Amino acid sequence: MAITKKILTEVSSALRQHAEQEFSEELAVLSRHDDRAKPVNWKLSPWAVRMYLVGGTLPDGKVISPKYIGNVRLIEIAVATLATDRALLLYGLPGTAKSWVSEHLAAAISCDSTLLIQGTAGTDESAIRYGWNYAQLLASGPSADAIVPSPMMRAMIDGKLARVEELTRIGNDVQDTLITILSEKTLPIPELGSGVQAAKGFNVIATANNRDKGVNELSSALMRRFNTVVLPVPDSLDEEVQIVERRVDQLGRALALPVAKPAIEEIRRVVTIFRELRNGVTTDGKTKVKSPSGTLSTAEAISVINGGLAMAGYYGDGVLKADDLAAGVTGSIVKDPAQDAIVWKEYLQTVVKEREGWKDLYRACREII
Amino acid sequence: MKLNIFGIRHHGPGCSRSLNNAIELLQPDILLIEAPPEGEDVIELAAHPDMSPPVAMIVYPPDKPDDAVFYPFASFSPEWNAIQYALKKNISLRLIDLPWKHRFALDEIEKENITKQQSEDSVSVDSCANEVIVEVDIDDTSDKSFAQQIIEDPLGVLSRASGFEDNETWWEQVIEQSKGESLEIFDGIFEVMSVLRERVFAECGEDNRDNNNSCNKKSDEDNLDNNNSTNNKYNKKSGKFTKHFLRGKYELLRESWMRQSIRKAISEGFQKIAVVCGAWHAPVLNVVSDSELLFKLTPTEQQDNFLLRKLPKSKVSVTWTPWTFSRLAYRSGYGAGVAAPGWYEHLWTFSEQAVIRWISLAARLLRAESLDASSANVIEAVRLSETLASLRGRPVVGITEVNEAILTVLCRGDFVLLELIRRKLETGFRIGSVPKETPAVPLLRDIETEQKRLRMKVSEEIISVDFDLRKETDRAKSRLLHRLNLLGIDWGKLQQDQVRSTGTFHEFWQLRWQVEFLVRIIESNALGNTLESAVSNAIRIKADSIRSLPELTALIESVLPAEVSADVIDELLERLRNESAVSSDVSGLMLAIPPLVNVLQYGNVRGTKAERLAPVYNAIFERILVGLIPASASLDDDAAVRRIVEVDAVQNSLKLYSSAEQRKDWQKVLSAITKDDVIHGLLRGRCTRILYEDGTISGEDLSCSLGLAVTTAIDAIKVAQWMQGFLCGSGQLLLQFDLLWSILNSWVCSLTDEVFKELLPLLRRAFSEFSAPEIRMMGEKIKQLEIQNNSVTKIKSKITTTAQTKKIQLDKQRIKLVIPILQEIISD
Repeated sequence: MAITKKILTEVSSALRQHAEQEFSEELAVLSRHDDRAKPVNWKLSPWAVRMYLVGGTLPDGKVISPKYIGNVRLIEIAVATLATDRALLLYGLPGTAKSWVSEHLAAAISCDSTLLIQGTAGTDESAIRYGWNYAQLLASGPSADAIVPSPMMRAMIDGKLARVEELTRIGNDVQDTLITILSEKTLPIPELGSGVQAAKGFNVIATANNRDKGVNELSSALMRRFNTVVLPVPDSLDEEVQIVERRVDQLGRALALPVAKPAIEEIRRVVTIFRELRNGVTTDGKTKVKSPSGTLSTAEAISVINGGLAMAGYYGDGVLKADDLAAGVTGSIVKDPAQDAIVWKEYLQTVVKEREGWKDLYRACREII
Repeated sequence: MKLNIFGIRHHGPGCSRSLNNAIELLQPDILLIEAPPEGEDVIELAAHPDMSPPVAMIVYPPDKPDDAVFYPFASFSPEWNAIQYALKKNISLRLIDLPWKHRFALDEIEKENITKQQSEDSVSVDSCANEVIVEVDIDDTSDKSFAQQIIEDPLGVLSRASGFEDNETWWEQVIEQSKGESLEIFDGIFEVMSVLRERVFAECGEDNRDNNNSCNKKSDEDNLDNNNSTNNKYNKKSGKFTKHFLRGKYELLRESWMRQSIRKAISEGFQKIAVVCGAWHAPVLNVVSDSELLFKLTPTEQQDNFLLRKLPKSKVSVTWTPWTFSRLAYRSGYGAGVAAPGWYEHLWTFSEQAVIRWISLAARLLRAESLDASSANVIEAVRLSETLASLRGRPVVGITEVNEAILTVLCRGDFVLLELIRRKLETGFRIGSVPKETPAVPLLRDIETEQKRLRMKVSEEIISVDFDLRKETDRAKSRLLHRLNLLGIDWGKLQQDQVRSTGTFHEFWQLRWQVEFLVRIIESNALGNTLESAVSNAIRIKADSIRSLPELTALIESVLPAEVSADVIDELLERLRNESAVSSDVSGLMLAIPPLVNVLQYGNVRGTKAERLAPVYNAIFERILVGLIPASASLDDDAAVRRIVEVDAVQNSLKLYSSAEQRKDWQKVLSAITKDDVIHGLLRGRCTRILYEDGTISGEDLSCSLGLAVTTAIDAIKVAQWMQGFLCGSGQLLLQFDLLWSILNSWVCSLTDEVFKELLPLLRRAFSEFSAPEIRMMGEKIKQLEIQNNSVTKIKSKITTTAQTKKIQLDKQRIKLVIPILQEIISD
């Protein structure tokens, strides 16, 4: 009982607050200024939602901080999609702020980002539809009281946004539960001979990786019911280097690695390699290269640098060098020993070998494969 | 008398529709259109049944077709519709822009002035350059005067004022898709442009007046110079404008000319005059208005007269040429292009349900590519585009919203698919056509000039010629023929074999002119006005359609003798580099090597610069090194035969052109192949042979590999494949290398009869490629060996039935019967 209480009570000292709590002030200000037409049950108008996400200055000089930095048009498409009561699928590589955008959209539109279903291989139908309170069920048979509503069901009743994270991790049979919800906007409860009809304002935002392996591809029936917005990887090299540097720094401190500071030059090299292989073209845009089967996300670059730092700290001289990185870089690129090895070798021969000042990295990598 | 001025945007379908309605309403008795008056000679052709837009009117100086200017017309161009109306109703039609005969001549004078200045004073050139740099700097700063902003981009100013990001969208939203009354729209455009022009006039107008007034005082000569200096200034800034109030080159003169033409029409007594011109010009063309504002903007007849006095003249030709949607997207004659001609045509054809139809078309395209695109999705895409438009505060859905909706709903966020749709729908592959009666196009003139210059006779008889490429004229002739070939005009056919046999200095051609070539030339004129530019573009198009590497290298090889500009070659090399980088097809890479080496090796005869090619060649070679072994792992018999051909091709090319390091790397790969049991025997045998001939492996090593490869421990078929690979090509090795002979011999001897029979075809194939003398020598060798060693009897009875090697009593009569058949066997 004590634990339940703890779970249910709002803890102001939470490690991380929900978006609508953290930015409650901005939401309130926007709401005051928002005199445009709102779809039913929306807390803000589409115009204000857009402003909340991309930032801006209100007529009275209040500044709204940008939540998503990148292509504004994508956010416009996302908001317009939700306004046409089509479900929104945010697609993209890991670490492209999909969940972040989804949370903030829910916070701005429904002022509630907690109606969340976390997709895993073990997610079952009851997580999306409803479960049973078995004591009640045994005592008085199937009744509305015995039903434990899922976040989806609650969103439908209240006319709010439901979020499904990692949709492609959920098994296909369970995924397809969404089809009826998305097209008919009802959730049948056969045991009671009734169902829940979604109130206006209900909609679904799902996120999914498009390059991870071992995922359950969406059936085309489900795909058809979503509008897909692909969130791109960081635009520029510098932006990505910055992200990696910041995260490496934070993680390094958390792990208490015995290294003073990650060398920015090495980070730049790793990020450059990852970007070039990912994009299939060198940064100067002059040479095309093949892309390996792995994702090579920003997150992986971070772990490569961290691994290198650990190597340098425990086994090397404490300074991050090409030798410390070679194994990590090779490991994250060569996921498929046959195809990726060719890609990586070709890249080493045609790009790394020729590049000024990269001889050490070339040699270190050639030693490994 | 009534004067109506219709300010339009070139290629605006909405404008077209409104213009059509307005003209229909007005029923004018004369139409004046902003287009070069020279075009009046060919304007009648516009109504010809064979004329089908997109077409372009070309105006060019006959001696310099490359300076040509184009006036493209699409079915949705307002001018085109106005012209069609006038021709159909048989009312007077005049083209009233400043004639190009004056503009070309002014350009000429200007060029001469520049060269004169340069030759007179080299210091001033330096200061001039500095000046230009400074001016560019000024351009970059954001605090431009409002007038400057208006001049540079009048629509941009209006769009920004209405809260749009780009003027394209603004115009489309406000004018093109507007549903207002036709005449009102033009009044609106007229009014808004008047305000803009007035603002410019207020800021820089003094200049204008001064200019005009001073014209009155100064002598004619000065006036001309004055004009030219303004133009000079404009030119130096590479199209950008900073100080003066002119929006384009010769704008002052052009507007004067248009006004004078209008005045002339009035004085001739036309009652209902309709003028169709670019919106920017509209406010200054109203010569009869009594409004004070317009009066201020519009110079008087005297002033115009003065400006237009004594303009220099030059010769001008004009004709029609077929045009393409993709070229319509460029900026040209009018200084205006359209980004998505396909969309505009669509808007023109289906004004009511444009968006729905467009998205349906996109869905159809996707279905044609076997992708899922249901009608329900089309509905959702239409809804999304409408919601997006309203979220952005747009009155109607534009192409941006449509594209984004298609991307999100139909393409599932996949940009590649969207690009496909955009390429097919927006730019399309439409090409127009012109009637046969159309006067000759500049490209034909250019080709004829070249033919005359080189004294090449055009005849329908077959003429054989021999060019010595060391001679300048012969090289030029060869170049002309190569270029025409690239345009698909096979006037000359290169006789390949003779070239090879007489070295690279000579080319033998057979010439035969065909009448159909003319059609081809007219079509090709859409690609360029001179042979060189047309060929360059033809090559680009060809390169775009090529999907395989060997084709691409072959194209490069065929392009070099045509001696096109370095840019084109660079583009091809760029393409080659990109294709080879993403290609996982090692065969393609290997087959691409020989043509490249040909160019690298022999390119110098024509002065081609091979340096640019070498890095590409090196990169391809590196990729072959990396990919060859994995790609050779599981080859079937046919594939192995093909791979041998490819390996040989690379090997032979390396002999011609390679660094020592490259040869070493290549040998390393080959020797790795010989040692890899997984690889097909044919290929391993062949690689062993190459390495031995190269001297990479010594006789001793060879006998070691032979011992390993040719042994009863391995499946006989595999041994036979290895032998075939090793022996194919030439039998000399077998003759000279006794050890090989004896290993082969003892292996063959060890075979059982059944296995031998099974292998016989394989061995036969290996031996069949040997030349007749080699086979005879082998026979002799057997004979010789037999004396040394009696054990050979066994092999001789199996491997050959050549009678001469048998030491038995022969019946000469019976032998005579066999000999013809034997001859046949041996010789085949």
